[in-house]
Amino acid sequence: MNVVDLIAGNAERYGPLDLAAGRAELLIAIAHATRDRDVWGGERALTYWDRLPEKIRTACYAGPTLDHWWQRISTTFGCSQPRSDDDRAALAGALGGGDDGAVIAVLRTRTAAICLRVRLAHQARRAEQEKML
Amino acid sequence: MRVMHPAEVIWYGGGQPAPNWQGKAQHDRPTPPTRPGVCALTGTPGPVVAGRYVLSGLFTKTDRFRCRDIDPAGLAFGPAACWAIRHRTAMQRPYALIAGTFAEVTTPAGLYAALTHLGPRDVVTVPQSRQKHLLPWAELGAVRTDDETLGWGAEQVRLLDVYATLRTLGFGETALCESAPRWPILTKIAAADQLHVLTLWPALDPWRRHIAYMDVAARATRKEKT
Repeated sequence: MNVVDLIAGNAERYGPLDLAAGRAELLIAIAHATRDRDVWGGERALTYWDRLPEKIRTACYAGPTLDHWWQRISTTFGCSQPRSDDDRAALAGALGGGDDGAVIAVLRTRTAAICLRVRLAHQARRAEQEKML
Repeated sequence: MRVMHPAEVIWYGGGQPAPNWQGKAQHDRPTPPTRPGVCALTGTPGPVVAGRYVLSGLFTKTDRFRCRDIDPAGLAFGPAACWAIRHRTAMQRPYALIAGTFAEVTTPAGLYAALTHLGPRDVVTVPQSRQKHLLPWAELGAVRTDDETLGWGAEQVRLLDVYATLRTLGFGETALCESAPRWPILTKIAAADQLHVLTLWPALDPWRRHIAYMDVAARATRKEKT
């Protein structure tokens, strides 16, 4: 399942977000999915979700545009390119959708809530996968 | 016609009780003498007691008595102000004037009910530090805490209900002050309730920015001590 479908499932389960918050959620979900697992695995994985909001908020001060934010997050988490075409297109859309200020404001002020939605989506997917096994 | 000061409204609601002149003193303290004058708190002319009999030596907020300069004989207080200032337990426990009756609120459920029924002529006082006077500064139709008067209307009643709902779902007082639900608590509750929590959580944001409201709500939703 790609990140776009994962986020769509979230909107069904927990209600849709406004445009800026939706883009913020997508960006966080893609950053999470493409993180360097060698760096953020192992013992670091234990504190990963506690540290994620702090890293996201810090990246908001990298510059005035979402490109600055994404660059900082990519460096912090060692993000690679998204694996599916849909995710790549969604990432390009989210970064180039205009009104960067509104999305950065969401990333800065509603960080914990958005991270929680992403985490819930991943937990729900893992539960589904375990059920299928 | 003169508008009554809230302290006088509360005093009448309480049945015009006599002030507690004894306080924490170990020896018997007689009722102090009165003289004609103007009350420094309410501005009501009539029999007043000199300020030195009413205020503690540690009291520093005399500049808050808005009529303190009217009486040429010096700072003095009428019976309602004396009662309000010298009411020690009102500094320590919640009290409510609801539907014209003033009484101590002894249980969290009682405080919840008082906050739910708070009308424009009612008052609820909720001490925080237990060190400060609340009754003299109380305002009608509002909740008085240590340092501020909290406006209270239908929106606050709704938010109190939201607070109580989240609390029954397992979120504690500290967790409710955070910007998002705590993960360990969220994962313990049923999936249907998770959606409910995520929907309700942002509703309390105005209270998270004004923490005194959270203090009052926390106090009104605690479990009864057994």
